[in-house]
Amino acid sequence: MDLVDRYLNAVGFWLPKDRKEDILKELAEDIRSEMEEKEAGLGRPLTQAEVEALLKRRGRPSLTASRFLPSRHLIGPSLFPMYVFALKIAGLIWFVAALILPLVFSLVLASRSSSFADALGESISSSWTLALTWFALITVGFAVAESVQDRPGSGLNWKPSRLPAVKNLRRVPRASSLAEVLFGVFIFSWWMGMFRVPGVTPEEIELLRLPESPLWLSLRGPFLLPIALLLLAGIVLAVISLVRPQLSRWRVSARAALDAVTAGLITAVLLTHKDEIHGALRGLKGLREAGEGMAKLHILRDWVLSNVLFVVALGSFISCIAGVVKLARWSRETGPCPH
Amino acid sequence: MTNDQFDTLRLELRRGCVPLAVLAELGKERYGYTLRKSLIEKGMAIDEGTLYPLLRRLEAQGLLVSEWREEEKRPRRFYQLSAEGRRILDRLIAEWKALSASLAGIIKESNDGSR
Repeated sequence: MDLVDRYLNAVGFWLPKDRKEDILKELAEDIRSEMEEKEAGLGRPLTQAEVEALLKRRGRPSLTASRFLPSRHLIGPSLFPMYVFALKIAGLIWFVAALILPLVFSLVLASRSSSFADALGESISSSWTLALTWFALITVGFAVAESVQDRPGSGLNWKPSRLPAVKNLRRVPRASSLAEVLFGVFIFSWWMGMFRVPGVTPEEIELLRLPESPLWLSLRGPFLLPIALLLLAGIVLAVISLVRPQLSRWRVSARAALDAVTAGLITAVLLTHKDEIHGALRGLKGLREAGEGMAKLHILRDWVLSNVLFVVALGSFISCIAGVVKLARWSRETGPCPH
Repeated sequence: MTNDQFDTLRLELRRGCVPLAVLAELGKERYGYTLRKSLIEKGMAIDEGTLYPLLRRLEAQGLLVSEWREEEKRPRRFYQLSAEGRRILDRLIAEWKALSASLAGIIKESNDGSR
């Protein structure tokens, strides 16, 4: 079998069965015609190297075959920017929630013997399948959306009036500020023990209460007042935003500072009680073995408390970084900079 | 501008003209290789990887008809304009002339303005 036959055979591999024979017949004729013309010009048969050069100029067999196939894509140009955006967001969430969070948990709270390399290795090995699953799900989702969207006339099936309003990033919606005020007041009241259930005496409530954990006692002890002050400061900022929705630099700075202090304070609580938290996290693994109902409740309470504190600390840290980024962008822009 | 950028823009410019050139050449019956050679000789360079898929697409659109025939002891596929292809070619030629005139005007204005 000569080189041309091998080339045609390789091209044929990628062609659809119903058109394969016809395409290859025409392609073979074209190649033979070109070879004949060259041979007539040279007055001798082409060498193996010359045939190879001729075929090479025509391109790889898969590329040659692809030109005879309809252009196909899994995700087309109109959805591709959204697909990339979704992957970036998912990647960021995965990076923080599945890679960094467990890594920090492992380093700060786990036993002292684990090194950074071990913790990183464990974090990556336990999260890469999640990353692949997310990637696959997002890709499949967009491929399905593409197949639905790619119907004739679908490009005209949209309404400009349904486009989202242009957001003023320097303005806080009043509804959002109001919700923040109400939520802050509720949490502050609960934190300060202001809620009373009508018809139930404090002694009766005491009967329902579980034995206090050291973590909870610490929060309600030395950290009671600082946390209360942070909650109050948050309420004050939300009230100001409710009255004056247009953001100013000092308010963004104050919010970032408040978030930084919150993150620092909760981190201090976590570090102070890292042995108890480590115990709580490990305790969840032994939940099935914990015989009594009350013991199970203790384990669950400490586990939930540890996680809530960790999420609050992380959320405050991210919010603080977002505030700093916003301030930096604000500084770069040449627009009005109210103080 | 680099040569690569120029080549890319030139390719884009010429790509749109290829179907018109192919249809115009197929007023007379030809098979693929002679069609390609004829286009190259007239300054419209086209590689086989572009020509054959285009011929098939134009045939699927009903603008060309083809048949396999033996010539010089080799089977060859001959293409020619269909009646519909002839009508489309006339309209495309009119469109090309209008486009060419518009561009000439735009380029003349641009040249006059830059002097």
